[in-house]
Amino acid sequence: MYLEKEIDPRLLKWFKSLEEVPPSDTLRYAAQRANFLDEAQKLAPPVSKSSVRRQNGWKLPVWSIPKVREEHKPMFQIFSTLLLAIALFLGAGGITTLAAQDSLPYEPLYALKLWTEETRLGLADHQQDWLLAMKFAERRAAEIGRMVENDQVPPEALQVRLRQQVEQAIRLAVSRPDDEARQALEQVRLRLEEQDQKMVMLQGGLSPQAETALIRARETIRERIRWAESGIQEPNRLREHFRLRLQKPEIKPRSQEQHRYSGTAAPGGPNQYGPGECPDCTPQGPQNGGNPWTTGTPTSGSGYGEGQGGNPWTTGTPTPGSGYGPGPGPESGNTCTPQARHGSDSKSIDQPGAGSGSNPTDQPKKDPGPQPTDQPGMGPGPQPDQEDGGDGGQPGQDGSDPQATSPAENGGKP
Amino acid sequence: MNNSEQELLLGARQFEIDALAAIYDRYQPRLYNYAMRLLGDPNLAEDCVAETFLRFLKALRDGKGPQDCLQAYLYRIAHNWITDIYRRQPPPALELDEHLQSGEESRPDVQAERQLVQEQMRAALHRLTPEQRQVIVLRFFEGCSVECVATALQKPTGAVKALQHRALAALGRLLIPDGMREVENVPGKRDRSTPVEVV
Repeated sequence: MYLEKEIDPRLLKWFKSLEEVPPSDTLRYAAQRANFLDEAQKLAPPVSKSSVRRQNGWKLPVWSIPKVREEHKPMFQIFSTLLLAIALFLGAGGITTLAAQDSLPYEPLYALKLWTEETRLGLADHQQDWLLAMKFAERRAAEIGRMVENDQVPPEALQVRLRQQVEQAIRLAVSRPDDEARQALEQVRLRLEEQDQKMVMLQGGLSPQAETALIRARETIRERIRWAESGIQEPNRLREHFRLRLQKPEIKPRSQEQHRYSGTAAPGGPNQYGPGECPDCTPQGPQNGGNPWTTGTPTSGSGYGEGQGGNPWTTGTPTPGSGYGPGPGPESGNTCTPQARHGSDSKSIDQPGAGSGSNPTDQPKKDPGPQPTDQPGMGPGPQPDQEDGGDGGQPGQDGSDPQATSPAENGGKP
Repeated sequence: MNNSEQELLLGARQFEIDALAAIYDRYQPRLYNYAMRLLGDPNLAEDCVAETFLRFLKALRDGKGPQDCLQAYLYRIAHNWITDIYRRQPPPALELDEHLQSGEESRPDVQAERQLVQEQMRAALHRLTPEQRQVIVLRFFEGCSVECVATALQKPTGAVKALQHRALAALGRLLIPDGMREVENVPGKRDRSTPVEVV
């Protein structure tokens, strides 16, 4: 054992366990030695130059075949040349693509690597897309790891890309039917935890900037682990979370499930979800079909149920607790006044729907966040992502504040 | 690189059988020990050594191969081969038994305990990054200097020292049940790693 003094005494037991190694078998050693020397003789270059190849009966060097032919076949020559050119082009492209796979940001082939990933993801079928997205997210994590190991600071774009690709993997996983989504999310969770553990191994002895970048990447991963865990518990909540983040129609699972609420999901009509395009912004109390997201009486402060006016800014379903859509009001059946988009009185826009009714043009960071509710199943929805200083809140959890601290605010702690 | 190693390398480039045989006799035991410590399987270790020397021959044939520090070059080939093996295999479970106690060497339970400790160490090494793993084995088991390890890893000596520090910290987190919280109290040690719960 060398350098014993540099080893923590508590680790010596493990180091000493590998100190002695049983020697290799003598006979096998001799056999492998002989193989090695045989191989050396085979690979040894010839002493003299090789003789000029000549035609020897039917044996022809490949390059002489076109010359031997007596007939002149231009089409064959053109075709073979074209084929060769295509093969060389594809081969070169393939080699370049292969070489790009190991590249890091700041390297010339990195853009090709990303383009290849996007193409592959675009062509992937639904069965494998989430796996592929997760694999690419792991690559981003590995790139960050390699850069901090070399004491380089990963660029901001890489941190953002890591976050986006992890979220993409989770989103694709949860878009599957519930049972498959849970299994997929469990796999995603395990793989993210593995990445987190690898990053733990890298901590210590880095420059402050590299350490901060590593901690930030870990924060990103751990936050998404919590998303995956919540998605395993309740996939629908996670789907809703993503729908709102992307501001796209609801991500339904692949199976055609019957929605438990009446009506279709198209916004805008009566007894539909959300206020939709509502020139009069007539809120709908429970007796009119009400907020389709609840089956009980809206709790004050939940953002559900009647309010003093609809939010003309949204055409989709309001997020619980976001302040959009009808909030609770003291009376039912009130008719709201359509609000102007800009330059209007903030008081009239911020209706006292107790979901804090924030103007959608406000910066998300100023939103104090939703109020916790007592009613089960009506916890505050996810908050807009407060990148890049921190991560968004967990979907569907209790009214705890979303994690919005930056690694710097955490004082560099994991 | 000392003169004898230079002479051997010169002869190897010319495919002199005597030089190649001397190289094999000198480095095969070290490479075998290196592979055995990491893999724990004699057959795999022998495969690793055979492949290492074969790649060495092919590099010489192609006019490549090391200019100096042959040992580091061979270690690097072996390291890459072992890393590929690790990538194909999932890391073994790291199960710590806090009730291990030392005893007489001849007792079966002591031998089993020793084997368990070896497996724990290998599992912990498996969880390190490839470069951290190589630094640990080369520095503490093979007795390589920082410069030699730097040549093997193709990194500056400062990076090798940092890798060694992080690798030891990581092993501490993995193997010591209470983490590395007490490391700062060990005289002569300056550990900046953040204590992490050992899973």
